[in-house]
Amino acid sequence: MMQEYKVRNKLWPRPSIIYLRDEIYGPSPPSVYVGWRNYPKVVIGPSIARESEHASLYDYPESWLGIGLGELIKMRLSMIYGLRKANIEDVWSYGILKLQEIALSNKPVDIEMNVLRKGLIRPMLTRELPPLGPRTILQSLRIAGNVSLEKPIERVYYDTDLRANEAIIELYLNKVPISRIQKALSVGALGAMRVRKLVPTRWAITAVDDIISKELVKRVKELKELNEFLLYVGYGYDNLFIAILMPGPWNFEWMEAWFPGSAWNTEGTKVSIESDWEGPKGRTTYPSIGGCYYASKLAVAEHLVNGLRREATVMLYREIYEGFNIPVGVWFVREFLRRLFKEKPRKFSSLLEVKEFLKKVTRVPVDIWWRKSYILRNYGKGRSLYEFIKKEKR
Amino acid sequence: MGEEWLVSFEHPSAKTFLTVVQALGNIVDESLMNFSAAGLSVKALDPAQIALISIEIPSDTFITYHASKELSVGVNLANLLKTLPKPKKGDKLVFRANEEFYEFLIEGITTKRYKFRSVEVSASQIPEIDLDFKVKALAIAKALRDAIKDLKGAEVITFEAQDDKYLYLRAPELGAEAKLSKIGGSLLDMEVKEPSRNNYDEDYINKVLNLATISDTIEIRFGSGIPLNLSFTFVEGGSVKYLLAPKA
Repeated sequence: MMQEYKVRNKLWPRPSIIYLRDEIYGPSPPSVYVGWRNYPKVVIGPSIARESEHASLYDYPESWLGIGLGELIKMRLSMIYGLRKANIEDVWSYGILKLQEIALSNKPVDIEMNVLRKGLIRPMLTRELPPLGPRTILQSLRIAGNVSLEKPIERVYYDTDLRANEAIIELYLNKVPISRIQKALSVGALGAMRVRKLVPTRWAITAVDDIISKELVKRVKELKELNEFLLYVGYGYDNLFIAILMPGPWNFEWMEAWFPGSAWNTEGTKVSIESDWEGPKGRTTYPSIGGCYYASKLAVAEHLVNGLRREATVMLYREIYEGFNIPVGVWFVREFLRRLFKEKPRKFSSLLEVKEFLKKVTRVPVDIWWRKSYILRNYGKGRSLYEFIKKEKR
Repeated sequence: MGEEWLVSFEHPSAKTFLTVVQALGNIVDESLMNFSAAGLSVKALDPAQIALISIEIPSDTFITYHASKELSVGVNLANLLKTLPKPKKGDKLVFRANEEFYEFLIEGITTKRYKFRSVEVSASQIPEIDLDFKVKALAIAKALRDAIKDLKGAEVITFEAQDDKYLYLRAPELGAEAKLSKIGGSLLDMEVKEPSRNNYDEDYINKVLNLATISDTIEIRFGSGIPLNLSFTFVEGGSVKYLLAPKA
């Protein structure tokens, strides 16, 4: 689960030497990273982007789909992080307050970092996080530019009675981008005064996806049920995404098929298929499939609430092909699905027709993944009146 | 105005009629209303194919009823129910339709008129389902409605009858139970061919439960492993049959 990718030098060019000076000056997108190792004694620190013109793009997943993965990874790995140790409860210390100021800004902030020349840690690629550039040890930090806060963020930051999940939902409803909410939670800027804590970036990403999607699902359940079968098919970046929305109560399943040679199945020879699902009551355990589960749930719940305004049973399926051999983070799933749901769906009147159509679409034979899916296997089982018609005729 | 209507009727109670339309709207978004000399009939299967509703309102139920030829009117229920106001007690309902339009007039102290264009609804074949129900009970409408309302949040309601005395409605999730009996006065009649027990979806029962407010009695029929049939007969005349597939 928590594997990490060590990037070989031949694959990724070393960051430019200019970054290795003791003093680095430049814009932070803004971006502040909180590590998860040695929790609760974590590392925290800001990063600096290579260019000031498009600095905000360096840490803004909502707009990354347009720029291509190769370009994105190059851009992300060119950012340098200065990290220092901190206890997760130190959120009121001067140093952390300064970092919060940077992280909450809605525009890039010019900062000056004093870093150690040695001890550069190599870039990191993980399943949950966007690619992380090289990290070094932060000695001192100075905010050189102006910090500007948006109204909703300012309100929840100074409201020390507001619980973190309420703050997250308030921000989401005020149309603050998800990545910004994640940053705010991560630097300990949300929640009731006494319980504010630093949250490792990778946990914050999942936590925000989870809290928002739970709230959205509550709203989905109040809507009328869908009355036809909708199918969305999207292909891009060596990934195939399929979303099947069916009439019925809220049920959700996320399935991934990793082809040999893709990021999470580098050494395998067979396609590895994993899935996780939840019923109308939601789930109480962490899905074995990881953070993508929550990111995809958020995307589809958002579409049901704001787009279709319908309740539905949802099956999401993703095939990851050989070419997609670097993990880039869960934002990819969320943003890809959000884009997919903007397209016009194909409409069907039965699940069988959907299956028939998909025979030509997926590379894994449809029967195989269909059988592995809890929802598709059990959809309408023993509940359709049509069964009784057949029974009577026999 | 001056439009030629092929079908028109006047119903004594707008509230009754719209309660039936509301129940239909809970199951499907669009439906065909079929008018013939005999009266109005509607049959609809919900998109998940779990429930079937058949509405029959004979022509003599209406104050006046006129159908110059057989006509099927495609009604967008989602839209209709959003638009129509909640009728008051004593309001009368007038309906008129031709091949293109249909309109509702709700006549009370003021008369309100709502005109809609008919929509295309494919007349899909809904086959007859003839089942051998093992349990048949005639319940006081209010008693059954209250019993089901008291099991709110159950998700699944288990119907069980062992003998002619009691009909149990259980909510295993809540650990709650409601008992209907002839002695208790909630059942008027009960007949059990063989002891039966089955689970049904609470949400789907609730979709038609409001029909109990406009009927005196409800006939309940079910059996192990087969659907549940609720038949509502209305005080003003007409009936609704609701067939619900058991829960997996």
